[in-house]
Amino acid sequence: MKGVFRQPGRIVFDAFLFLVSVYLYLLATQFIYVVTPGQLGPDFWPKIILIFLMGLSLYDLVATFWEQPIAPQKEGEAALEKSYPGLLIIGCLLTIGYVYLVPYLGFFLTTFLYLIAFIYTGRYRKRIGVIISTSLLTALLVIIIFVKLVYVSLPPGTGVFAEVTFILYRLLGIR
Amino acid sequence: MVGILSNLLMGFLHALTPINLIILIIGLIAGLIAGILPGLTLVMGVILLLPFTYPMETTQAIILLTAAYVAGTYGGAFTSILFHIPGEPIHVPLLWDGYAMTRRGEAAKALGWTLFAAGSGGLVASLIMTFVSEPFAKVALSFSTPEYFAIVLLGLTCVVTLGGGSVRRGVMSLLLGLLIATVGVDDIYGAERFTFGSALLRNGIDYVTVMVGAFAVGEILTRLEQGFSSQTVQRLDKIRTAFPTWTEIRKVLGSLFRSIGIGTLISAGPGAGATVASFVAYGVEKQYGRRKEEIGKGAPEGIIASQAAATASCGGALIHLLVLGIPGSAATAVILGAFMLHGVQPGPEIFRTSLQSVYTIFASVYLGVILMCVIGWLGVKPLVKTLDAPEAITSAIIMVLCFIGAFTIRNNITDVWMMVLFGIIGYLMERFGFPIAPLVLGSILGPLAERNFMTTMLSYHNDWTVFFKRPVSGVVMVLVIISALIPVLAPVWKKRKRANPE
Repeated sequence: MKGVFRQPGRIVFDAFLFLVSVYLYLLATQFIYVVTPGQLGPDFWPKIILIFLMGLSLYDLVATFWEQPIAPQKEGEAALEKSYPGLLIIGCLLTIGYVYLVPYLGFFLTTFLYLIAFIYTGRYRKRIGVIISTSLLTALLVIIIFVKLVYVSLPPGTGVFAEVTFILYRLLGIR
Repeated sequence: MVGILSNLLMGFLHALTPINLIILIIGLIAGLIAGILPGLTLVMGVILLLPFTYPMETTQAIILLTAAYVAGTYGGAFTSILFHIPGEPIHVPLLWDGYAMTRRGEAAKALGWTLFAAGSGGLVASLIMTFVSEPFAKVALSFSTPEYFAIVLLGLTCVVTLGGGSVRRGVMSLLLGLLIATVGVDDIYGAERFTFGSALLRNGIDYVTVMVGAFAVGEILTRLEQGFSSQTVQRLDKIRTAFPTWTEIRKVLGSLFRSIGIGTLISAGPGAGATVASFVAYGVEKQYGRRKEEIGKGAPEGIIASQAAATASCGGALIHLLVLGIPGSAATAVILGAFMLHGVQPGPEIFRTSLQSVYTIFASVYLGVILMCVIGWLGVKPLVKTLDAPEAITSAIIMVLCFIGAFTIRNNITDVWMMVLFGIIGYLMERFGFPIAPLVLGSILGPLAERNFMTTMLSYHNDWTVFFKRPVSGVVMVLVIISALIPVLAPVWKKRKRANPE
């Protein structure tokens, strides 16, 4: 991908992977279980995985220093002229905020707000009316399909927000 | 044979009930749309349907997901051929021959060839699935833990070596997936591993959160970084499908059957699915086909090779899932999840415990392939119209569906946090050149691999040579070694071939 800085990021990623593998290996030496002579134990399989992971992440880290930056390999995709890291960060923050707020504001309200924000972040900004109506309709449809028909118990929220959710459920005939 | 046919007839009677037919059609349309939309893969399409299956009966749930799976291998062909936009990775070869035909003014014929290949591939794969599954199940009853471990290992090796890209990073991705699968309480010794005192982690990390996060959320984050810059669609007024004549079909029968065979064989091994089948069949046609010099320039054989193999691969993957209980691909892993949700364990015993359900599913696959072709023929224009929907809107809706999919696993918000975490991990892996499929398949097949390996070691007193001493596991282990050596030896062979062209 043009404009994507792969080499330093990959080195950091490999180093992080190596350090995490070492940490987890040390944790694996401390699993609590009843030791039976002649048996491999619950730590054998994770340790084998971690040894390979440590070795490969170290090898990949060293190899990355010597490799030339690799050209994009995905076929069929147009070469990208631009990337929008800001949109990515906002999208991640929105998603984290969505998951954090759902237990408090309730699924319907949080989903409605999230959809508006995510669509706008995704660069569809011309028709605000379409954004709002699509978000409202989607949130309502999801409630009808999953709460009313599929019987999934989505978070109603707390306090006054829970009251709003239950009023909505009554209006939609959900008991 | 008579028994199989009578069971299949009963299966058709159950599959043709109004409710099952409606569910089948919904699954087909969902799969076609998932295949068409570039930001939505067929695996994501199947994943997003999973929450809808909770109130359904097991058979209905499997019919819905299998229909979406099969249709997803066909839907992406439309946009590849008409607009040079591959809906799925499996349809990338269609860009070379299908779009070339469109540029010559033969778009209708290209769509016709695709429909013919998808229909033929699907029907032949269904026949193989019907007549091979039960006898294979009888053989599989004799399999023990060494055989199961060897088969799972073959699947894990194939997904790394045949998936393309860096093998080293593929192995690292796979190891990460296997590591994720160790979180929780160990099956054999009952020890807590990497739980950090969390009650939820004690139950392990569900592979659906890994799959939804890494595949779906990760993909959307990647496309968000690109600004959701999907290409606009033009020239919708003259889209139609022109079925090839019998004279034209007779000339390509060799390519058709070769590709169907490749698709079925490749998917018969776990871990290698429709994408591998599509590319391998296309490669074989380009190397050995009767009109190999025309491949890539708008030859029907190019379309037939990739499409027939892709749709035929569904049969092999479903055989694996039903008979061995081992998913042959990420999509069949979701179908396995649906089975488990309804308390049904696929495996050789399924033909004894749920015979009617199995043959109803088989019958629905036949019906699904036929209806898929009918819907594709009649509905190509409205289906392609879904591309008009702004990607920002479809992606936002998908994110919400992912949330629901993750939440409904255990009705706990922690699974959703896991999904978001794996979404970010999936994005980072994609960005730094680590393939995601091995991570997901490692997390799915890891518990199977460990359980069978450790049980073997317990049963055979840590004698690892048992994997090579038993005939079936020995043969499979040799295949594992061959498949692991392919990425090492292939460049050497290529160098020698270039040095000695004669």
